[in-house]
Amino acid sequence: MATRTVTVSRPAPMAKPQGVVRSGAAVLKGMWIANRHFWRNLWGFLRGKPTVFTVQYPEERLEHPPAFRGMPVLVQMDNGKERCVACGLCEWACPTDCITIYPAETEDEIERYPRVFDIDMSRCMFCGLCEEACPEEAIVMSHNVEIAAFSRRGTVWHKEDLLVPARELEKTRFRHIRRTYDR
Amino acid sequence: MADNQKILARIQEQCSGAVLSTDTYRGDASVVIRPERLLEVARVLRDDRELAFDLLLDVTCVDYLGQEPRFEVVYHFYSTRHHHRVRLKARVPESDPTIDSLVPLWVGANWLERETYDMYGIRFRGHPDLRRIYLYEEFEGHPLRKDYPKEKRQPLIGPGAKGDYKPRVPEIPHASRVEGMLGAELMRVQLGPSHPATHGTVRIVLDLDGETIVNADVEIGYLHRGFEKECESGFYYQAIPYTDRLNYSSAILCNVGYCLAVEKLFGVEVPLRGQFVRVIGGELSRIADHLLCIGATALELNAFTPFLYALEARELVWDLINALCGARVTSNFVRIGGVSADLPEGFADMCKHNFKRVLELVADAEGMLLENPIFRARMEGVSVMSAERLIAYGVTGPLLRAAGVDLDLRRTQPYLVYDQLDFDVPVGSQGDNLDRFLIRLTELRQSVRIVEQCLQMLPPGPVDVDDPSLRFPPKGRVFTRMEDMINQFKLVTEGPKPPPGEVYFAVESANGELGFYLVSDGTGKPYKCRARTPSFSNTQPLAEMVRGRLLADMVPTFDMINMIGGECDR
Repeated sequence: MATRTVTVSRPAPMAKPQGVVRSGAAVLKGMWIANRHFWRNLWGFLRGKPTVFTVQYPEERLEHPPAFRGMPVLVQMDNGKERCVACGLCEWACPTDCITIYPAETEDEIERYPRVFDIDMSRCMFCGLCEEACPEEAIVMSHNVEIAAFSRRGTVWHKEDLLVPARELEKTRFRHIRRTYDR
Repeated sequence: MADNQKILARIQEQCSGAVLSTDTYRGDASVVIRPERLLEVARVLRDDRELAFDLLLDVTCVDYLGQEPRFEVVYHFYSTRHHHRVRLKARVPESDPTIDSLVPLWVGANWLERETYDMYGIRFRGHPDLRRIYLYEEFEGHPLRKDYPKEKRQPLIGPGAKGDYKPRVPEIPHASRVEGMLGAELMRVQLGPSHPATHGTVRIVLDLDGETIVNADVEIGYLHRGFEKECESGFYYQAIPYTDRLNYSSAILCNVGYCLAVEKLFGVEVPLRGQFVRVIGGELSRIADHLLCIGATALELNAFTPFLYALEARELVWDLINALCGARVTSNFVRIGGVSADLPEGFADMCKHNFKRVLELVADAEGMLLENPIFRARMEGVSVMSAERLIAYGVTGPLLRAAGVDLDLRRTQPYLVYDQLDFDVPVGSQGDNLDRFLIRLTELRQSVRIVEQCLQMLPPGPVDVDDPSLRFPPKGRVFTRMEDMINQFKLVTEGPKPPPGEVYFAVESANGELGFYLVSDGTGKPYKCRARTPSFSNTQPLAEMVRGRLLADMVPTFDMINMIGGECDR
């Protein structure tokens, strides 16, 4: 164990005669630091490589890392159907109970499907436990976070709205979760 | 005297007749005592030379509905001299849930007992000011009792309700309405609940004589949302996102604390790589927390530019956290038995790149502040409190270290891989606000060092335990193997089921000791999940720190306490 206890060194107290000089120096130092930032940013702007940290949001968007958790969506297979088999595990795992599933059966190869699959986005906290519980890679977190609605009813997303083609997710969330599949 | 058996033997020897039973479970020593002799036992614990339990960490209660006596009041103690712990328990019946108050011995028991009263209805005999702390007076029932349904609605109080609405002005328990120095009445100022200089929703009622604070009353609870009730009504794994919301500026540390407590209940340890990844995540969180604290302090002392630098630096740290776990604030990163994902590709390079700029920005913010006469005048020598008094209040973390007490759980009881790492623990010399500020600056740089070391030392291997009774099996196997599919279904629908028992586990969070006290009854849901949060204990001495000082000293003191509403109010 190589930890040490160190007493933090306090800056020298501001006594009267030198204190005035040091205060003046401190003001100059502060101005120097602020100016340095200003010139750095101006230089970056002139070179066309802005160093300003602010992002002008609706016009300018950041690219999210693959691990990013946005709203949960349902994966749509190539035949247009959802991959979900309505097993209900995400409903169980959800801490806020925001998922509602009514299962049904068909004659297809995958015989179970959700007749109703609603997610109440006003309750969802994007924790990703549904995705972790899903045994089918059918519900995943997307990169979409723009889910504002004009009414409470509008915050409930139905199955049709939640479906996203699998190929659109390949580059984003799939890239992250497939890394964890054989951890 | 670190051995639990020795502690228990000593307690039995010193308080003969008061001890009903002793027990050691997963390294936690606990003592069940007769409730009527609590004060006597507590005094022995505090004053006995070999025990020296000077820090009262937590007071809470467990409701064993259906058993008699029904309530078990639980105390956690820590010794800053010997670095050992003990848990004290006393049963009180439902018909008369009364027990002696520990306020005469530890002034910090005040809020803790008020909270226990609020949540369980335990009455503390001799408590100076036993009223609700989180909830309002008109609240019916005690919400953490097991027979209180989660869905229960409360009568609506306030405008629109029947009857007249009268805003409650708290009666300040100390001498109020005394004649001021100018012969005038004291002026009452309400700081908060929503005030630009309090980052956190808290109401502080101040009685001023001129500009001098005569009395202060801190009213918390504006962010109370029933964390413990919520945890008790969900499976163990479902509580992890809620722990994010405890200290939302260093969420991963709360995740780590909770998961380590559950793992202690199971008696498992995650693989080495998982431990390193947890340390990396936790320390990144600590950097973000300290950066916010430093920046906000500067802002509230009217230095806007350093605030922008600190926030830019925090943004860079958040980018790292975002790449790690997919969210900047609500990380939900750690899992029971591992972490949600291993480090992403190129994480070490990202860290190196971002830390370089973070340290530059911190140096800039520091350079603007530390020599600045205004900043110095408002920080230096302000709100000094002695180490003994802080300990009596149950304060931990940077606040206590500023008073010269070398207490950092990462070193005194190393968990995860902290014993393999090389870092400094800063302590202060005077215990004023400037020391607290400098400690945060130093710790921040040490955390950068820790992350860099971890990235270098990171061993290969899995990050999760391969145990389907507590950690979801890898998805690749769930898709292909029946056995794992069944395990997945069982774990999701029944929750991880630890053996019955109770544990307390604490980690060093950004503001002090963050402990989780879990009681398991063998089912998939915690019977009791208590969070001992540092902000709660650290906010309590605020009133005493500012008494007799100027109103303007309130702001830097509150900043240095760094109350996080989510953690304080739970």
